[in-house]
Amino acid sequence: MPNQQAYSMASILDSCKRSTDFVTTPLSTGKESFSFSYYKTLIDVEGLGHLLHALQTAAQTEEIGDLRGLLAHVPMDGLETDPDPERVREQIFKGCLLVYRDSDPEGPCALIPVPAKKGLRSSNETDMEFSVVGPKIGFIEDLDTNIHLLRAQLNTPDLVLKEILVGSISRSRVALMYIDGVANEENVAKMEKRLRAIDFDVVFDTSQLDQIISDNSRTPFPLFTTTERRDRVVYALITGQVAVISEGSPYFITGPSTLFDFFLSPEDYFLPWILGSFFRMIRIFGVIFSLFASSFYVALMTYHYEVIPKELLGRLIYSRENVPFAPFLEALFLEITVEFLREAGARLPSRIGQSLGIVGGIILGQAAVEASLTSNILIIIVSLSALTSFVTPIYKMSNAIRFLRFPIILLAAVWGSLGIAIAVCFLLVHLSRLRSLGYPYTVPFFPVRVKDMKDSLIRPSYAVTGTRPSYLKPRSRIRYKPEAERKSNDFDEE
Amino acid sequence: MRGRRNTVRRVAALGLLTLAAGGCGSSQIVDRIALVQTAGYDRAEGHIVTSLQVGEYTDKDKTKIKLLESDSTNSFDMMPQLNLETNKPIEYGQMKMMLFGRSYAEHGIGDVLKILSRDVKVQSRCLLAVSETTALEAMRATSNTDDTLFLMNMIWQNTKTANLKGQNLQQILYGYHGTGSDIFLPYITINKQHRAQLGGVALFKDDRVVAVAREAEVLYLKLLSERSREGSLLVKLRASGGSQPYLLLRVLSSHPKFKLVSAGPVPSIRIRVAMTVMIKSISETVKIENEAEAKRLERVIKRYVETGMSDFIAKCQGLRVDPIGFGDFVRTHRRGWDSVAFYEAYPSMKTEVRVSVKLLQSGIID
Repeated sequence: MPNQQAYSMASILDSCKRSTDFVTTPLSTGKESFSFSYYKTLIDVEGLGHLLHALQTAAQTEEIGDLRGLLAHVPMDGLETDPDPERVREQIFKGCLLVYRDSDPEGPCALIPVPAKKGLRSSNETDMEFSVVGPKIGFIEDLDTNIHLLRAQLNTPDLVLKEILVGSISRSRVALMYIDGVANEENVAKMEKRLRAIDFDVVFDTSQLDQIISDNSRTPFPLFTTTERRDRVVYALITGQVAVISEGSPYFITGPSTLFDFFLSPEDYFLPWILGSFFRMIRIFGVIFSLFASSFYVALMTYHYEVIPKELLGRLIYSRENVPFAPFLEALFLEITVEFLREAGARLPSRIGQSLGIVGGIILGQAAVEASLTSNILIIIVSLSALTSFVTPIYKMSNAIRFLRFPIILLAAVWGSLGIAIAVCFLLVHLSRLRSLGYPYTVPFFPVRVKDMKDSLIRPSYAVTGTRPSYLKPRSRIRYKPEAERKSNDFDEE
Repeated sequence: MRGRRNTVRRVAALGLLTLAAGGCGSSQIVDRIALVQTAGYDRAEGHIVTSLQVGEYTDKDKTKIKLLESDSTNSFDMMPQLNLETNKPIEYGQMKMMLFGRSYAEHGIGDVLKILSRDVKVQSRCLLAVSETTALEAMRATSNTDDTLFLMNMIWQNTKTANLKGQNLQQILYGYHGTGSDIFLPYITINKQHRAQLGGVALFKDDRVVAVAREAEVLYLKLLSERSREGSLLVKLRASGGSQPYLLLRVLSSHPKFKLVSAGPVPSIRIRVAMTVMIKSISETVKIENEAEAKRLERVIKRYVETGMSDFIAKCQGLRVDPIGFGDFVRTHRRGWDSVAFYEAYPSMKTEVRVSVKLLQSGIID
């Protein structure tokens, strides 16, 4: 991204005009015509209306020949006349109008501050993706507010917004956003083409678009990251991804995504890297446990009693004593019970949900063991794997993982550990065939991209993550220069 | 439309095949089988008594031990015979201990070893041992322990922390099938309190028990055949008037080194054992107050161990058994090694044992 180059007014206007929310309103005073340029998602449109109305009335009674005359009628403080282009570039993102004469865009101009629109509603904390450390700003159902929230953090004209109308009946506004000079145009063009090709009646939510434009609909895995967190979208944009949101939806989808994007949480980057890496590995281990724990129980108890450690043998057999079902049915019964609990609890208000948890978790579990319908060791395994299926920060991924448990349990019941091995093979082949916006889903592990592995299983320190992942083919590779920072720290700090 | 019907057919075929293939696998649900943990073979009046310890896990904290026995004419139909007595099918994939009564072992355990080398279901963790009484009695002696693997755990902890040399099933089978060494198995005796205990090591010639190595010999066998970091030794010191002084040593590390001086016709081998030991306890009459006395004690220990080891080797030579594996050692050092000729000359083989003892003087407990 060009940071230190000299700007001219024309270049600033040109770069801003790439976004569809940068608009120019003309005002004619008879003798001269002026232009007011601004990001409509960053200012209070109502306040602007009042201002323009006042200027219009003034123009009817009095002749306004130049910019100075016009500004005399602006009833606001803090006007800046003839700011330098650098100042213009900065202030235009803080909610200022840029005024200039149509006849001479390079000539004198002025900045008029209009009270910035407040993007925060009374409560826009994240509902689904909570975090302890870091900002809790989430998106809401209003598209303009969402774009305002993004622009408030990414103060650059290179953040480009393209609006597309989708839905033959709803005609919903869908915003496609990317950072020009970072995201590869090919990805942007691909995403735009897919969005424009959509033929659908009513768009309720971005997640519908997600399914319509996804590369492969025959998969339980989400192929685009869905998020309601601002920091997540901003992070995706600065690494070179493309973000899409539809009107009326609090969720952005970002892509191209890889499997590992679903295991990273913004908190990884807010905590010290050692802790961030540890938590990330806990998450990955949790998902593997969740996928295979119950099926291993079924396989061991049904076919491979030989490999049970002798210390565990007595406990396992005792816990299953008098259970009338085969381990498969036992596990299936419990897994489905957990799914019932989740499905019933998902739509209940949180207070009733709590009592449901008590009824389901404690009473049902206890009674099932006492009636010797299941073994209590299996209850521990199933509840642990239900718990660990929620460790992925993205809800759609935890759904996929919970669904995948069932075929694996079935295979384990039929073929034992061989069945589990077959399931792993199927899973790996399937994952390696998936594409997200045309990019392999399992990168950087398949195909192998050693340089990009540094921020996958672990989250290394900021000193080594200065580059963007190469598999996204970003226009500029460097995100920041950690060396420059280190040099300045040497001696002159005292 | 056609393509979709094909997909449906394909999925249905896959499902049916899965179910069909699933029917072929035999499931052994762990609580619906009787798990053999310890098995025993005895010989009584021409027929063979086999016995099994099966765990019954009906109590939360305790394991009930069920002892099954049956008579047979051979060593092969143990499982089917005993299966006639149980309400659950007998499975021996968890069998971790096999015990041979002395009278059985004196007639040869070859049949069982042949079964073990063929059967993949028997774990390599499975331990073998010889019992002084019948195997059945030894098992009965452990029946109040709530542990179906009491004997196995007993042997295991003794190899881990004490004087016994550990061997897994593969090593035993190697010793049996190979020509350069003889097998030896832990020897279980019943003490006066009617408890099973480790009484030594049974030495085998081919597949028959010929002698038992006891007490310090067990440790010497371990020290001569492997690097070890565990073991304890009671040294009898020369009495200087009054009572007999004792010295209890702990072996911290020991490293045997063989050197082939000449290969034959009568082989000669020099054995060096470097030991680091620590005094665990010592009779009060023995004084180690300065360096010279410690050096003197080192020499005493050295002489004691050297004599013990030489005597043990001589005993093995006299019995024509080779548990230490001198044959394998010579074979790795001379081309064209001939087992018949070697063991022909084995009783007259010359060995020279040199032990170097380093006494660590930390933490002497009185």
